[in-house]
Amino acid sequence: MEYMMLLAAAPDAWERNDPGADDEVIDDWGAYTRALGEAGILLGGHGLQGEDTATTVRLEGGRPLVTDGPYATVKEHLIGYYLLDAPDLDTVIEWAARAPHARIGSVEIRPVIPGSATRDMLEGGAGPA
Amino acid sequence: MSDDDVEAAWRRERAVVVGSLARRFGDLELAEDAVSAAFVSAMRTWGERGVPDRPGAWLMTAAYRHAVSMRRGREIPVAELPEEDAYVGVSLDEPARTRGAIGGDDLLGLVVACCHPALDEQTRVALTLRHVCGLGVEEIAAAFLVSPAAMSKRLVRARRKIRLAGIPFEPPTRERLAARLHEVRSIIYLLFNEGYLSASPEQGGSPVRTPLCDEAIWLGGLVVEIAPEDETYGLLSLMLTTHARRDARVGLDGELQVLADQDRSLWDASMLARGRDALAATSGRRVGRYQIEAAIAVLEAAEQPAWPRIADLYALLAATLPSPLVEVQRAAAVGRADGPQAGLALLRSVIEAGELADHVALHAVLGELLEAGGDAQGAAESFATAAALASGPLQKRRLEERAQRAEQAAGAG
Repeated sequence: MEYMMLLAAAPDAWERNDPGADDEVIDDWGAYTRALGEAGILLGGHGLQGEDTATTVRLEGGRPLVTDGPYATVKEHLIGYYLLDAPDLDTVIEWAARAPHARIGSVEIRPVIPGSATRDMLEGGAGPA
Repeated sequence: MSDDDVEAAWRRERAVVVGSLARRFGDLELAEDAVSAAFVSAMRTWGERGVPDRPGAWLMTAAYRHAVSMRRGREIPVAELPEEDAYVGVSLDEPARTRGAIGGDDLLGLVVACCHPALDEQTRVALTLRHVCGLGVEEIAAAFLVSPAAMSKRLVRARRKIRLAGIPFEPPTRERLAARLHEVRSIIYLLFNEGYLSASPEQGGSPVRTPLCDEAIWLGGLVVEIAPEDETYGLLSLMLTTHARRDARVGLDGELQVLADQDRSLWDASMLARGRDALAATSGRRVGRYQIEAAIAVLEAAEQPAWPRIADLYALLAATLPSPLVEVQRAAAVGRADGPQAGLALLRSVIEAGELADHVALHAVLGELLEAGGDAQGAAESFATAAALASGPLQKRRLEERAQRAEQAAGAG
């Protein structure tokens, strides 16, 4: 069986944290990820930029309706994800509007934090240049 | 070139440099900072060395060098500022007939990025005012009645999202252009209406916030120049024709009712002519809401409005942009074209659908049609209802006057 862990936190959790503690959290995150890797159960994962960088695409009358911000998490549940490498947001919006899922729900687009892929942490590299 | 022309050329120039740097560095904040630094450098060095032959090229080069230095985290030494003709291809220095095309791609990229639908609507308006029009944060904050700190924060967040989410500064591809220009037009019109509708006389004298309207009209002219499309000409024409009547307008949003009462000597004739010219520039191949609304505005401004033609255009508008308010306006036009009973028949369908029951325009138009049809008592009641719903004191007073007149007519009859 495969599982996906969705990490959630209050939007201002990072801002409330004092700056000195940030490094500690990042270290802990790395250690935790390595532990998952050593346990042989990790398939992949990424960190995402904050909700204020999110863009949501839904279809209205068959045409893509693009809005600023994440989807209403209370009413909608994450049912899967695709990881894409695209030149810009407009390209991703076009793909999102073509997803069969857009006809029944909405697609939230979140930029991935560069170099946050777990495999990069496991390999000890700083991520792609 | 008049002073206004020079001013307009510089504003355009500034936006071209911002757009060009944003496109090259993918960072609007850096672009804006570098352009500011270049203007400071210009003031300092032009005072000493004199104005270069091609000031636009000088600014582009200086701004580019500032941006590179800022990236490296250091200040640019004066020695590294451009000497003379360091850079070629900037609009202000080119003959007027070729100016349109130059910098157009960079400008278009900047405009569509600022008007990107992945940003909140109000934020798009603010970003466009800041980076395309070159307004200061304080001016924008004042226009939106928020503190400069709050506006600054909103702009910083928006630029961060543009950068992190990968909103491109490239001009849109051919396939994307139509959709993006549609977005751009809606933001320009939102800005125009922001200036035209939302300021009430209580908020400080003038019912029209002219600066925002002027910015919207400037933007409309800019987009027409860099990406000509019928609907953009239509939008420009609509804004010019509406704004030409700004001094005669008395803060009513039921504009149609008061147009006939307006003092035509207060209308801006040259702006009206520009509005007509903009509409005449359309090819007529693709008609949309802005062209229809502009045509209505142009016709309504005539000495003897052609009501049958106006009524037809409202029917077309109702089909293009269905809304109860358009139906109310259409009813008023049909009342003038085909008689009050025809107008009332249309209005009744809006009333029966339960739409706009507490909207001033519905009751004002109803009063007008009843009055024209000879029902003075009914007209008096409708005008009184409209007056009670009116928010602006001027609008309220005019409707009360009409109610009284109708009342007197009912008493006399």
